Amino acid sequence: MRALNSEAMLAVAVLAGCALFSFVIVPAGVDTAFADPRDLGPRFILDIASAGMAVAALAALARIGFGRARAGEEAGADGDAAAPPTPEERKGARRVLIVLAALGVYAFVLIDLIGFYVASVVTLGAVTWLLGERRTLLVALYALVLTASIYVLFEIVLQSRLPKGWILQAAGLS
Amino acid sequence: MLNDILQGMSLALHFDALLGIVIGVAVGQVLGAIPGLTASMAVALLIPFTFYFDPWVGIPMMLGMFKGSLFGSSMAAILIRTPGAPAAAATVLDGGPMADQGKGGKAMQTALVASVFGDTFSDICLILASGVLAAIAIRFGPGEYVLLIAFSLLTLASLSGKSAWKATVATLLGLVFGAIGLDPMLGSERLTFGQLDLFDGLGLIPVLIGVLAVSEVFMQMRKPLTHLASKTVEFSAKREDNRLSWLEFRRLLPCLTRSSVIGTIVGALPGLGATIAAFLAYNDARNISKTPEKFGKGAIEGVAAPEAANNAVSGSNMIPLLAFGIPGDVAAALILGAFLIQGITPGPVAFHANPVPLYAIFTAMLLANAVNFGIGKAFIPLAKRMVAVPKRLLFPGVLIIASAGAYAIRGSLFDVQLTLVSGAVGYAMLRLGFPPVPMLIGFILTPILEKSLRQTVLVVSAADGWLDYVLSRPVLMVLIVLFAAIAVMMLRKRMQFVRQSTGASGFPADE
Repeated sequence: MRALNSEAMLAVAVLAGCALFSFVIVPAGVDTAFADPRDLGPRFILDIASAGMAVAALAALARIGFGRARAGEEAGADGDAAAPPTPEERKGARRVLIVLAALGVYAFVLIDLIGFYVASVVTLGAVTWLLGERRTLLVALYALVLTASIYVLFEIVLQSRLPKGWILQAAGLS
Repeated sequence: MLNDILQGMSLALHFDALLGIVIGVAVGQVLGAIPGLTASMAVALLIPFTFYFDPWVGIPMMLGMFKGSLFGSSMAAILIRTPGAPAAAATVLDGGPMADQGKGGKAMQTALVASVFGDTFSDICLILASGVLAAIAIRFGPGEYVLLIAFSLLTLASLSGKSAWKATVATLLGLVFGAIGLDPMLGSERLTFGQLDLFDGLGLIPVLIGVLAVSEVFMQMRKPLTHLASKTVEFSAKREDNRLSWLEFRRLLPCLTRSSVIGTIVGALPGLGATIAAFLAYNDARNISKTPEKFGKGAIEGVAAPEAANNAVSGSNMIPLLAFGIPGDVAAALILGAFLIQGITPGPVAFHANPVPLYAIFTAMLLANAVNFGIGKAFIPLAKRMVAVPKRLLFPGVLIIASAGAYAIRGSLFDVQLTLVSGAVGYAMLRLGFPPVPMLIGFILTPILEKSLRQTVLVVSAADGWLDYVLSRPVLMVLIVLFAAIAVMMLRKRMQFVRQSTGASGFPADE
């Protein structure tokens, strides 16, 4: 029953998302000022996609409702219930969120601030630690060696410059 | 034409191109063999690096990487039951038991021979079919393209994943992502919100890396920490357990041929993919086997059939790409990405106007098969070391290499951020059961679909209406009839499947 409800909730969320997209985001984000009346216009593909998603979600809701009606009371039986997440699964989900947050800081703040290489050493070390590697020396060595390999590949072999970060640039170190 | 073929061959046979193939195959095999790195993921990570080379080094290298990583992923499937790609899942069924019996060497030799056999078979079909189809495709106008793309998307939406509605939503979400940027006809802003980096649209390579590589790393990170440590494998010391004899190869030949045919047919149709081909071939091999009871317990045909089929898909799925310029699945989408960054636009016009690069690609594909075989033979004894790389060291490395690769394409920090966001979107989709591949194909096809659709409407508005337009285009009429027939067949199959699976409980199978 839980699986069924989550599926229905997902379909409802898709419907709400489509409404938000079509009535708020598209009008705010699409410039239709110069549209030719014979042309379908810049909104058309977005409106078609949104409408299609809404129809698919409605069809899913109809199927779920139809299935429940056909199965009656018997249907919600335990056999259809999804198992609740185990503590290990919850830990795994939390781990992904923490890594995602760390990568967000890396991509949106650190690279620009301290440069690709320093940011990569810090992030590599942190994520490897988060994934359960507790040998500090190995973590540090791994972060340094991998980053140094990327440096050699990009700066020396491919002659490409990865960002140095404004702190290093301001200090005249890059 | 002969001159074009010879010129194409000479491009692919140049020393630099050959070196590119050798490096590509070797890197692909190594990365593919590392558990947790899928073939698509490995290629997505490596594509940005090919950008730094001459096209006739970069493209053969990338083709080599793809073929190498497919075989590499089979090694991980056999040795530690961790398929490097979903398509290798069928190989685990008998490859795993063979490895448990100490016959991992024999299983890998079989997988190598089957991979190269299937790959070569479908490459030959590609070479024969794509030119013929391109000759038809050259008559296509925007209307025909709209129909063809719409049909590809419909097939993807109805066949990808367990739930049709989720695959439909994913495909249409791809259209939304593909529409971000400046309007192709008017040049007006569309969902860019003043962000200059979005004016050219979302970058193909960052999105591919994010959705295929980063999201997969996140999925793997969810697993228990013990799973992220290393595993070890034991090989038997007996010679016969580590090789595929000539006699065994001859016995496998009918099975290899049938499986290659299955893989080639499945690969040519958009949306079906290598996983379906591998399982179809596995079932076919079991059905025709005189000893079906051995399947699942280490039958050599159980390794050969899925390997031949899933590799056969890799050649034939380039048929729609090269003939029509439309990628049929994620592998073709990756290859399209690499072609585009090298300035090559595949499609019927390429066959007509500039066929030399296409003949070079065909030659490089056949050469890559031979190189894959040679390097694979040498690599098998080293494989058990590769599969022992702990994932807790591998995954952070993948994330950083993905970021560096994304930055390298355009020198833009925005692309690094886009890779991460695409990874998060792909992860959310996987967690919620929305298949990401239809989203990617929708994303890639949006520009050509939208442009063709709007051109068609303009042409029709200048003509005497839709009916006259359709009746004046015989190719369009044939396509309409053909696609309508296929759509009805697919719908009937789907309804039959839903009826069967809801029979017992009244609940749809995919809910």
